[in-house]
Amino acid sequence: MPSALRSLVAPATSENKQKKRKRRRRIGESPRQISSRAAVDGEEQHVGEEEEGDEGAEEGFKLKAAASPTIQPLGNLLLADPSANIRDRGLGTLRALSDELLLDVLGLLRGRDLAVLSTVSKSLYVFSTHEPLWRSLVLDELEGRFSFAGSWRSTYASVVSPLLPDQTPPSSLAVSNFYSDYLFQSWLCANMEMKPEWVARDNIERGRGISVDEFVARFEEPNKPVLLEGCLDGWPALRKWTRAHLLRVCGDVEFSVGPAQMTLRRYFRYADAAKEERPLYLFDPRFAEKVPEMDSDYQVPVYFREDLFALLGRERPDYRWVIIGPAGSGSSFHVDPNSTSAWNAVVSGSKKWVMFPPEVVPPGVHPSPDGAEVACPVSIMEWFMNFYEQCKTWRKRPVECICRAGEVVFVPNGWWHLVINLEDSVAITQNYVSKRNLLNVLNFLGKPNASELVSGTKDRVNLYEKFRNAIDAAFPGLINRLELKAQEKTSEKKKQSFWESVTDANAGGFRFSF
Amino acid sequence: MASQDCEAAASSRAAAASSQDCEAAASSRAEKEEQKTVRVAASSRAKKKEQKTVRVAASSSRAEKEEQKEERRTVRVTSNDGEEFEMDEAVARGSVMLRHMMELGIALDGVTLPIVSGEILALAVSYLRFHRDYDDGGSGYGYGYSYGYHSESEDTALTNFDRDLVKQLDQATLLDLLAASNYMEIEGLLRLTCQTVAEKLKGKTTEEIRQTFCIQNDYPPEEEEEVREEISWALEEKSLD
Repeated sequence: MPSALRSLVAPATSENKQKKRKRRRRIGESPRQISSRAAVDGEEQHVGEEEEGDEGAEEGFKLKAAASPTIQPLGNLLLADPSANIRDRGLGTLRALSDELLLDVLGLLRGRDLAVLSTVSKSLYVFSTHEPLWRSLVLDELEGRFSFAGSWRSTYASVVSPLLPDQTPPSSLAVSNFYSDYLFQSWLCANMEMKPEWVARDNIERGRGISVDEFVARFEEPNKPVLLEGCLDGWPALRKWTRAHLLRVCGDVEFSVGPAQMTLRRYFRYADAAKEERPLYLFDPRFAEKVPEMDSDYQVPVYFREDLFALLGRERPDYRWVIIGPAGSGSSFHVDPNSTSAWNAVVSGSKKWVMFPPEVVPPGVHPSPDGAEVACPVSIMEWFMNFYEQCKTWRKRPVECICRAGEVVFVPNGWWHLVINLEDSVAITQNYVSKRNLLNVLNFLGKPNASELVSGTKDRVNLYEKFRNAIDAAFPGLINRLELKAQEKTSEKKKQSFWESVTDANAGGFRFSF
Repeated sequence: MASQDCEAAASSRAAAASSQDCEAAASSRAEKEEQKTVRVAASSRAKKKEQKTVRVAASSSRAEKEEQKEERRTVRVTSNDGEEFEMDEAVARGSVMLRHMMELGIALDGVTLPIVSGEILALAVSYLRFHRDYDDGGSGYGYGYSYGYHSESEDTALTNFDRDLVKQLDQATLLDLLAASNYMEIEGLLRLTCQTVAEKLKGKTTEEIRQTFCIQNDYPPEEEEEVREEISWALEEKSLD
């Protein structure tokens, strides 16, 4: 029985300290359905977009097409009878557990037991149909060998009990009067689209047709990011890599997707239907070996051709990836491995970038003291919701841009970066070591805890030795020369820091300052 | 009549008290993150000091070993109903929360846990003590990082302890201990208690689950039928393989 949902304004509760916003919901009448998602540039389903007078006032969230929530945030309870929340009633003694802990427990169950739970009570129905639980089950038990059936739960069910051709899958129950901040937040992040003001800012420096020397002097040497235009003009990939073409050439090749390997065909089927907070992302470091044609469809832009890790030959760490993903997929804040620099070229689609320099840890990110772990507990969407808005009050604001097809972003070594696809996107990215960041890389590889920190290779501890020997063999004396130069620099007068010199391209004379 | 079968009925008083505790313990995601943010933001100020501490501890020169043996620092942890527990710092480090507090230097006068009762804290402390003795073989260097990472299947004494610890607990206490191990960030204990609760959910029918956890069926008959239809695949005999 579908239930009519009330459209309510949720006042800011004390729990929402970081989320000073009002939530509005549309009246929905149908049970949860999965439908293909409209592109960002296409339909806009605005949810209650009135101006509000309070501080940090925002409009409601843009929801993806046909998203109809059945879970409501706790704030709504303030306008309803508190006993209206069916959560506790339906959990019995388990109500002692928080939503998160209960989900931790449910995460230990196999599919059958989890499914049975949904018959116990309406409250347990909501918990046991939580999609991330079923995603884990599918990926654990089937790895990449599944055909996405609209939701993770249906996907799991369809493998256990394949439907006959004329059968339709049973529809999901719509549950009302269930209030939970945790689950609502999860639903919201899965069904939200990027707000226009999150993607509006573009303050990165751009370069078109500059020489390699100019690139090195203006950007690589001082370790500054830049967006380069026009340097992919010769790439066959730009015109060849349509979806139809890729499916023809490598539709049944298995690529690395998160923890699993999936055929491209199956990945696209999933990507078209999935509505998730953290969509699976195709990120393959072996694409050139798997599909040699792809290797010849692109070439390294001229600025990045000095790549000293190449001296290691087959023993070099993973260094190049093809990246394919739907809108909403991406990487939350991280620093690239092994202290390398990187370039990221968009073949089709578009990506939003947010970058912080090495000395500025982004809000919401917590690296461990030895740098071995980076805890970024929030998803990309959550980061934008909870932390990006604060940017307005910061003095150290990040470098941002949208990178579109045919453009390349240079990510200097050590820089924090977050990337989110704004639409279906295909990109190529490579990490590299040039003479400019050679010392950094050696320093990184030579650290005592290299065995934890070094990535992309099976031989972490010896990588330092191998690399150093390879450099000495190919460029005798180079390391010493670079070290001398570095010592000279540090004994010079203190240079103007990056933050004092970067200007906002759009706002004329605006200057960052400490 | 159902209440006779219900395990929680025997300790309804404890359940009422614990539900208060656990409502306080239960927190929204943002609030939890904010707590983490505050803790970690504070710890980043003390970051250098912490790094130094770790480095000093990691190098095991004989002089330092001697020094450590003599100094044997302890920390006092108090429950919300006034029960005090004194333990070695090395033991306390099994709780990431206590570890951070000690590293920030705010545990010197003892720590009071406002949402953990004495009964529960006693269980947690006994877990910490036993695992610490185990994980570092008594060398005095148990920094707690290995809690829960220990390969328990290889160690019968360890698994026996864990099994006996949870076996004797009634349901309300088990759930309280689960919440407390999350609050105190004792990973191994959290895993253990979660597994124990999960075991109670496995291989049971709908009615059996309702009885075990005193859950009221709030489905009207037609809806319950709909849901059973929805998960009919789980009620079949076929297996996934």
